[in-house]
Amino acid sequence: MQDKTNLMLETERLIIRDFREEDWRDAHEYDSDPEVVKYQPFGPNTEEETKAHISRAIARQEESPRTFYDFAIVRKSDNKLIGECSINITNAGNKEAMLGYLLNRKDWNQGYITEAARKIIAFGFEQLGLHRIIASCDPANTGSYRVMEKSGMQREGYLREERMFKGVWRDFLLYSILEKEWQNLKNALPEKEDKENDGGREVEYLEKNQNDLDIIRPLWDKLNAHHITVSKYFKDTRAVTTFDMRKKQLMEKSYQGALRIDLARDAVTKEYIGYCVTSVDPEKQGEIESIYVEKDYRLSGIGDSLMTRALAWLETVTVKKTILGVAEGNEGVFAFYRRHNFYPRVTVLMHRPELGAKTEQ
Amino acid sequence: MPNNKSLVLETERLILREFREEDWRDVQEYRSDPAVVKYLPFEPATEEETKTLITKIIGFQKAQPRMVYNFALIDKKDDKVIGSCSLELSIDGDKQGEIGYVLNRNNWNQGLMTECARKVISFGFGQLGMHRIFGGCDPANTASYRVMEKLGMQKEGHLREHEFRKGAWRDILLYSILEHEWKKNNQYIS
Repeated sequence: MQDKTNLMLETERLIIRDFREEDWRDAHEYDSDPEVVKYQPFGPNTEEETKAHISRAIARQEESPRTFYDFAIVRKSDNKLIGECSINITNAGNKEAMLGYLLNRKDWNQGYITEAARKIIAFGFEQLGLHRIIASCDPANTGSYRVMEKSGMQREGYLREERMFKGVWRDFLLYSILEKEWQNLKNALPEKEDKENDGGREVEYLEKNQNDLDIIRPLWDKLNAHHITVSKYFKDTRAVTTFDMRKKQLMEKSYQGALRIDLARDAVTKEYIGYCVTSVDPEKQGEIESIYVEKDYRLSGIGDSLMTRALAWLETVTVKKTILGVAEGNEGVFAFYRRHNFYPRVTVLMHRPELGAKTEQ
Repeated sequence: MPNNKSLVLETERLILREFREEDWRDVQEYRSDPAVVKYLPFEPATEEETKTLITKIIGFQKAQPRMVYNFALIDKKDDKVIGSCSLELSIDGDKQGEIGYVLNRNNWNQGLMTECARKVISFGFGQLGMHRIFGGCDPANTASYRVMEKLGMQKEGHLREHEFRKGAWRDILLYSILEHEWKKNNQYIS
């Protein structure tokens, strides 16, 4: 349980703390801004409404047990209150809470919300002992769901006409992150993010063809290791597949059709940190053969950029359709592919009587 | 808002009415059945637990404003309570609520659940003025989501580890139907 007066979180550029009455002036700047409250059920606020909102947040600090955490986000450099970030218990029994946030428009596109959101998520799992954190937003509110994605959340649903406000029935995207997923991510997620794109590290993109496949060898080996780890039933077959075997397959495809490699490279170290291999066959079917981004560089839009480039190339060669395969055990990537409009079509099953009845379903 | 005493709905094979204390015997038959409660958040019930539940349901009938409508499903053939179908209005939602249902195993695979849920959804949209009705079930509970699909409900999401039930974290499939969708394909009860 957190003592209200001590409740303070800190990130590289921000202080995240409980509200005080005098915060209303700075909060009013964004609560009265139509652009900021466009997708909110309230606002643009009058001064009275903002003061009431702050008072309510302060009153709820006293609740025992506390279920409502609406925090002020203060920029360290000038001590200005630039926004707010909340985590509110939606279901105590199931240890679930919902994340929310608002930011002054002047401070958009600098990664502040992602920085605050990641800290609040950590707070929720570590201090509040939560199991699941959710967030929702209007499907048109790209800025909002990009924050959720960069914080490691996955899209779970699309709720139709769930709420009516400002005269219109609203749809909501539903995102969530589980405690065990966050445990895996927290070491990979950098705490700060200078820009909205590419996590503050400068990344360059290049295109190559099949003659430079060896460039991706070390990255492909890591991807294969990942597939082995997550696979339930095919660890053995994956373990004997080598890059040379895969390269041979891809070379053959390139002779019959075309092959392209999109590469992402750290602009400073010049190290290759991500790739996407795309093929086209003689029947003009495109395939995303393999895509991977180094752990430290994830959740910054690099995978999205590689995919966007690959799909743009496929358009220029006018493919009839494009497919990709997701390995058994790796189904966590479906949300990424869905963002690029890939939908599951068929599931291929392989007969393996040697595994027998001893495997559970 | 319907008068509680007159709250009775009818389908081809069922009567849907408010629960009464004496229903506990029939209800206990299915609430104590492991196959029936497999995906429900409780173990097979004892008589005491079922009696307590019936009392609670009757309490809901009197609430002002009323938030829970729990219909006893009566098989017209033998006048027996073979299950229940409920609508629970959301406290913080806008004219939305959740549908739930349970049926005695002897009456499975006859389309009875679909038949009664259809009536209850019409009641929700037509009489209660709801805008959105949603339902959830375990992803392994095929029978349950088949009912929702047959009713024309749309799958909106797969909520991961949303609920802790019977010693493990469980996923939920979320389905919903909107009033304007329902109106196109169904008649309202008068």
